[in-house]
Amino acid sequence: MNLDRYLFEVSPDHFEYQFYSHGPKGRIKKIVRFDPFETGDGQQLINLAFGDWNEQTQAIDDETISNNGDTDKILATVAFIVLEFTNRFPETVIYAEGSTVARTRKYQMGINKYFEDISDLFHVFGVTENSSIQPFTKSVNYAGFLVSRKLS
Amino acid sequence: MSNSAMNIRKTALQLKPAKVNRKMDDHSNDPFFTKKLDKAKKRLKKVTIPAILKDRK
Repeated sequence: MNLDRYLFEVSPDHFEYQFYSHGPKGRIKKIVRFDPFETGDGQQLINLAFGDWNEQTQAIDDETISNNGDTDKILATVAFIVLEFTNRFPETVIYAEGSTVARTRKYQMGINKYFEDISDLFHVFGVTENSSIQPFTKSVNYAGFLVSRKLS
Repeated sequence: MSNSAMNIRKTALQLKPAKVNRKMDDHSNDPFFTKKLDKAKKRLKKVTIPAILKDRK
């Protein structure tokens, strides 16, 4: 799977990554963070979130549609960041969802496209709108996703 | 294992560690990420995590 992707940098604690999108709208800094949290029954998970650094507002947001023509390359970069993070922290369970239904759907389309490859390395579960967790199925639309590296 | 699966496994194993940027800003307390975290906590507050994802050490 030789996907085109951006080079990225990581913070010293390896919980924050950044890279730059390049396209017709210029250079846009993307920030990816992994933040630990616990579910109600005490299971520790890692939330994956990412957004754009907005130079005008000097803040991070994910509501701007950057239209930089590189969505697939950005998603591939985030996928490789997850690989990098889980190479370092293989026991973690990562949760991700989009900021909107449309963006979550976009992530799901990416998982669908490469599911055979992804599932060789990761356990993949879908989280439904009513918060039930089930093994990822291509035909179901999910509200979010849980992934963890297969340890053996 | 398919060729494609072997490729991604090889890629993952050969993935070089990302370049550490010691000057990178820390956004751990940024409202953007705390809001995202709160959303995830709310979504997964009452879920039952599959056994295969538990006790992974």
